[in-house]
Amino acid sequence: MAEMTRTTTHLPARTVPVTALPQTVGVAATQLRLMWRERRLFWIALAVLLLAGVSVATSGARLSAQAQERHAVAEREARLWDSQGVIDPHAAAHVGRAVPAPVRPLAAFDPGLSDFVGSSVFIEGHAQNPARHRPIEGGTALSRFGGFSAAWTLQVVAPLLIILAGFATMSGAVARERLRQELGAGASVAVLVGGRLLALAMAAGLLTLFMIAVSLPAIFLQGAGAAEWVGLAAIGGAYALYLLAFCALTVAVSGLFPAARTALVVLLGFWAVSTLLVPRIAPAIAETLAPTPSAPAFRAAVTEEAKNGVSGHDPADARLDAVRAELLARYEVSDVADLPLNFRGVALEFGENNSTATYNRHFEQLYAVYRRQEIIQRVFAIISPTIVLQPWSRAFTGTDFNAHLTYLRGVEDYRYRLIQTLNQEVAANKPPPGKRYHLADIATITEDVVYTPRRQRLADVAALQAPNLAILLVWVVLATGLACASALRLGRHA
Amino acid sequence: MSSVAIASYEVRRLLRDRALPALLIMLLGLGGYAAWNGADWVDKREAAIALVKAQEQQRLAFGRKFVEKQLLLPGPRAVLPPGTMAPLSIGQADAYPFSAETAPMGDYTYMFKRVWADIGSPTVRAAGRFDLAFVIVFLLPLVILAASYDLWSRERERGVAAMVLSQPVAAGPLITVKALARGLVVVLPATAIILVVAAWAGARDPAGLVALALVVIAYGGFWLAVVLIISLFARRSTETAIAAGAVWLLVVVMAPSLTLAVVDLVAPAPSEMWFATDLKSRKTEIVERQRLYRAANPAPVRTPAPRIPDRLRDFYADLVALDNEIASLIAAHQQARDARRHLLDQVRFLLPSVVVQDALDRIAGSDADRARAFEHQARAAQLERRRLYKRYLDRDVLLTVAEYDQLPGFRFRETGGAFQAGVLADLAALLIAIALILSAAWGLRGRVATP
Repeated sequence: MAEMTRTTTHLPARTVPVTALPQTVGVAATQLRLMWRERRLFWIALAVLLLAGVSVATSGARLSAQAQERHAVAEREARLWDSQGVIDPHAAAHVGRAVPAPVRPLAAFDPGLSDFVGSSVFIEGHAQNPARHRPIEGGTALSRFGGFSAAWTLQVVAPLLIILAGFATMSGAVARERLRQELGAGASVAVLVGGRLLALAMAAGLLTLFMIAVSLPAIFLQGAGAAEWVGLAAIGGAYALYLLAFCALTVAVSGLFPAARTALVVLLGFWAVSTLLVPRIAPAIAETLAPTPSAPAFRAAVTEEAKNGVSGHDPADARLDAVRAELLARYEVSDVADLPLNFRGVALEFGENNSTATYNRHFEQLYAVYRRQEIIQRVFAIISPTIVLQPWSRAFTGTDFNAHLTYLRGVEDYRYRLIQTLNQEVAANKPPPGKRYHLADIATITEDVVYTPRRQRLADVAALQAPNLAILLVWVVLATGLACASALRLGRHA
Repeated sequence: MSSVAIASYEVRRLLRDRALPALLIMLLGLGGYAAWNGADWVDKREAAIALVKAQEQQRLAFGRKFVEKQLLLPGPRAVLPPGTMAPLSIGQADAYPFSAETAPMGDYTYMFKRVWADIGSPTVRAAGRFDLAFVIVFLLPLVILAASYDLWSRERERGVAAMVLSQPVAAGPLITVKALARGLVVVLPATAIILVVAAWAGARDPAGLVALALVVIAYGGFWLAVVLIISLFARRSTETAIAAGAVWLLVVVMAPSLTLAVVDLVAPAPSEMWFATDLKSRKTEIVERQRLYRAANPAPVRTPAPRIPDRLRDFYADLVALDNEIASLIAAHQQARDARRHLLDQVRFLLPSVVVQDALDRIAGSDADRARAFEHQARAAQLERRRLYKRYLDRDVLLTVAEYDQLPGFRFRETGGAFQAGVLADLAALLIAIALILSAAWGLRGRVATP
């Protein structure tokens, strides 16, 4: 490096223009060599990579089993539904059917909320059931320790490795002496700091690439499509930015504190707070500030509103009486038995419409609370970039709540169409003389009502996640700025 | 040099360290907030239970009008109240139902069919509860490690290790006494802080507090033993800190998580989804068969007509037959669930952090065993009420209003206590882990003298 920066004094004088980039790359190469010599870190990284690989493999195997199981359940539910034969259509509404949730291929990389949301919805008349069979249910104390995944490794362990690899690059007696020698040889402080940052960033980038690479077989086996590959690219980019922020912070702190021990303590403190403590405390505070109702309170509110209307003074019975009166007037009859349609079906349609509107309103209010909680959590991104990386990663793997909500809304749309088709069948057909109910073949009357799984468009996901990306970019800019400030300070002191 | 002299010097040195009060204040702050969170959760759960009970009272009051007209025998609404130490740990309380419908004429699936256990945000649930158990299991070790990681490395770094060992003192007792002194200055105040915040949050059962103190001290002892063995190997404080952090990551995060992943692979949870569909299919088949039988063999009309119509007797007989037919299916599923739970319970003994979480859950009454006991008791209450229903059918009499008013409610019978077998087993596992580490350290005590 000294050779590169030194100008010769021989005649004729000739200045060789040396740009900063090759110098920075040279410093980075030296740093990478030094890191390589520190084999303990390499072995730790390899062990972590291996563990993440095991986690991805086990997760992939689990996802394959889940996909098969859900496919089998969906087929069996369809058979059960179609085998009801000729019965009262409203009885079929009470039999109901289960609609399993889709398995997301990228969940092998980041399981996100997969274990915390229900894996199927039981649809039936009169009620909008929440998703049931959450994998987290029915466990023991060990179940609280789940969550290790390739994504978690990149979110929590990779920053730790970066800190351990980089805290002593410019702090500590040996590093400071080396730095003084390099400065004395004419190297600019920007090149020296930039080279160290580049070396750390390259190591972090390699770790990210390896981590994604070990996840690829499991993702590929789940039948990933174009959307998954685009999602994976978005995830890879965000993780690269996240780790870059940690690299810059590590280099900055290493430059700011002469003692390696102080630099380590500061960086480990930041790591513990930002990757472990804040992601745990922020949701707790969010729930305190925007509390969700208890399940019994939610149900009681829905039941009350379905019965007495939004205002509490608009009973459903009175509204149904108005419907009855309107029909009697329209057909100019005085008894519902004389109507050309089956009033029982009309009442069922009305009831379903009423209960669905009530459930929708309350569920939307509940989801609004969830969104408020997410916004409150996002405030904590001031002290933790992990807070914005997590939702980004989950969103593009399709394991966040919005992906689940898309599934829930698709199921609810199907439920409403299915139940109202049954009710319309009742309404359109009066029972035969002497019989209580009109009977129909359930498979035939509902064959056109099909459940089509919905999925979020990537553009919508990106639009929803844009604030998180913006915050992540701010982190990168601020961390890089801090590294520059650290370089300037080093330059002045040198 | 006496042990007391070494210990008192170590204590004085630690008390001069400005980091220790900062760490303990941080523990107090985080522990206080976690305990408040636990108390808040208990308040919400109690409010939910009060609502369930109020709804039951309304239902009973409404049904009272029909008691003398038809056989009306509602099942008590079973609820699982939070334990006396509940603010300590939310544990598995969100993962199991806390209320059940025990209508005598409902089958097994009816108990939890309409019960929604938890509608909290999955994002918040996935982050994990910030309760006192989290502070103890995850953060307390960090406090202990931060205050003790330089147990012997500082002497080595400053070059005074050799001088100290040149005194008439054996290496083994020296480092043991130093570790015990750290325990006195770090673990005991930390335990006191945890006990105070737990009691402040409402966890005031004396036996529970004693059990909590024992668990915290044993867990603190485990981490001190970890520091001790690391100190035998690491030369520099930085190395010790990194090694301690790596052990923490392994013991508290990675090992439990990977163990869970392996258990999931080796003994996956039986599919609840498949079970529900299987059960529905089987029930549909049985009910249809019963319907066809009843249609082909109508019950003879009795004269005079009984007070309780015979169709209710037929219904009862069909329900009992249905229950008997699906019993094997349910038993097989529960057996598979219990086998997996048993395996999860067994592997915890290999994982100190899980052992502590388990002990805290049990002390708080938020463990899986208590939740399962509730399910069993709710089912027993349902069957008991069904037998009562049968007696009224046999006697062909309706309930009187007085009998209706005096129907017993459900009361959960506690199955364990602060010192239940599970907690004692957890404590024993921790002590064995400490003993193993100390044995290894004793064998390696010669390394203390290595500069």
